[in-house]
This record gives sequence, structure tokens and C-alpha cells, in this order.
Amino acid sequence: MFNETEILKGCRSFDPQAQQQLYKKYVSRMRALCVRYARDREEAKDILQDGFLKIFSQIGQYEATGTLEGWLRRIMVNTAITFYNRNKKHYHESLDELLIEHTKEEGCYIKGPVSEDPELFSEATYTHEELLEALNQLPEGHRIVFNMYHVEDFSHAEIAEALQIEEKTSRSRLFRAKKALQEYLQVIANRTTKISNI
Amino acid sequence: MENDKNHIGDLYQKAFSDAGWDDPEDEQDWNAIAFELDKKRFYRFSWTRFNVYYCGFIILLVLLMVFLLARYLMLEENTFKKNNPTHPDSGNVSLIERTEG
Repeated sequence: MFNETEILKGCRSFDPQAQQQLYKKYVSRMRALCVRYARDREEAKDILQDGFLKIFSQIGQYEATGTLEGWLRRIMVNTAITFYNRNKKHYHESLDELLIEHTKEEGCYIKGPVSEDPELFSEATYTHEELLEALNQLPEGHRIVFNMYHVEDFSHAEIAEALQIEEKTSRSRLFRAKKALQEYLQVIANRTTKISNI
Repeated sequence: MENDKNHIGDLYQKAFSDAGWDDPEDEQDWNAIAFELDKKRFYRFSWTRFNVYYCGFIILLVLLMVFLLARYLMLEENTFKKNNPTHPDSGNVSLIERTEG
């Protein structure tokens, strides 16, 4: 078992054992990041593999100013953004809007005002799978903005630059994403309550 | 940084900022990455590992040896012809002379 300094040293000289150690140490956290950005499991896998290959090629550029994990997360997020930018040519935001409308018609959205009950947004109320299920209901452009802003702490200016959109677009996507998520989470909470009542 | 974070943002940040996600296919995924890394390693210069530069050097050595061997054989043949001008293999005796005897 290597410590972090040895792993870094080994990875810089392209040592296969050190590379595998780094992979084993961070794969589960990086996968958690990838599944939030990807459309499905397969895309998450592709992002994860591409991200790790970038990490191993660019590890020489890592200066120990911040944490290694922070640097790895940055690379993974950038890889996910590259995937999104590559695929968005085939994916129009107007389609996103259509999808939201369609989902509303299908009855997945709750009609009426959204609950502001803090219990509804308690971490203990949902499992990771449920949170991810709600996140995956969002259109791709909305999901990526929500992730970048709320989980990775990017600013709207940074998001706009990375996704090649305007800042106001980023803000409006975040607003819609949050609104839609609140509604989806309420559906999930109601479903869970019904099941536990049975 | 804009200050419009709310419950839902906190919920996701708490749940996912430090979360892990295990997958039984980790080993398979590593194999795919290791295969790509092996390819990259092959094109990377190193004194201690076999790589494209060693491979090129070996091919160059083989070609050089083939060239030197061919040149040596040609020189041998020329020397033989020079030293034995009447020998049938020297090329100085015609076919008629050789058959006549």
C-alpha cells in the first residue's frame, strides 16, 4: 500500500502499480460525480475512463497547492463538460423545454404550489439513488448547470464560460432545474410515504 | 458567488460532495483504462521499459545487420571472381567454353 506522495511520484513516472492505487483510491468518488453529469450508466463509464486517462497524462502538471481530490474532481467535471459540449449539437434546449412540458402532461409533475417544507429537503428523507433518479429527470443542460452550481460550487460566470452559454441562460436553467427537482422530490417523498403506510 | 442557494441545493451538496459510488464492474473498467495506459506507456520515452524507441532501435539494428551482411557477401563474391578469373562461377568463362570442356 502506497501513501499519497508515493502514489503521485509513481504516477508521474507512469508506474502501473501507482496508477492502479490512485484509481482504486478515488474511483468510487469519481463515479459518484460522473453519474450526476451523465445521461446514463454507459455515458458515466465513458466519462470516468476518459477522465482517468486525462488525469494520468496530466498528473505532472499537478502542483500540490490544493488537495489532490479537488484537482481530480476538476478534471472529471471538465471531461463531463467536454462530453456535454460534444453531444449538445444533437440536443437542442428547445427540446429540453418540450421534455418538461411532456413530463408535466404525463403526470410526473405535481400541480399547484411547491412545498417549502424543510423536512421534504432533509438528507435523511432520500437515498442517493432517489436523489439521482430525480436529477436524471432533468434535461441535460439543466442538470449540468445545477450540478456545477450547487455541488461543485462554480459561479454563473464560470458555468457560462464552460458551457458556452450566457450567464442569464445559466441562471434561468438553474431556476427551472431547482423547481423541477422540488417537484420530483415531492413525488418521490409521497411515493415513499405511501409505500411505508402499506 | 451568487447567494441564491436553498434547501434543495444544500441537500444535493451534502449528499453528493463527498459521496462514493461503488460498482462491481470497477475491475473491468480498470482493465480498459490499463489497456489504454499500456499503449500510452509504449509511446513514452523511458530507459527502463520497453517502448517504441527501443523497438525502433532494434529494427534499425536488424536492418543495419542485413545491410552489412549483404555488403559482405557482395565483397566476398567480387574477391572470389578477382582471384579465380577462369573458374566457371567467376562469370569470365562463356557457356560454350564450359560445355566444351
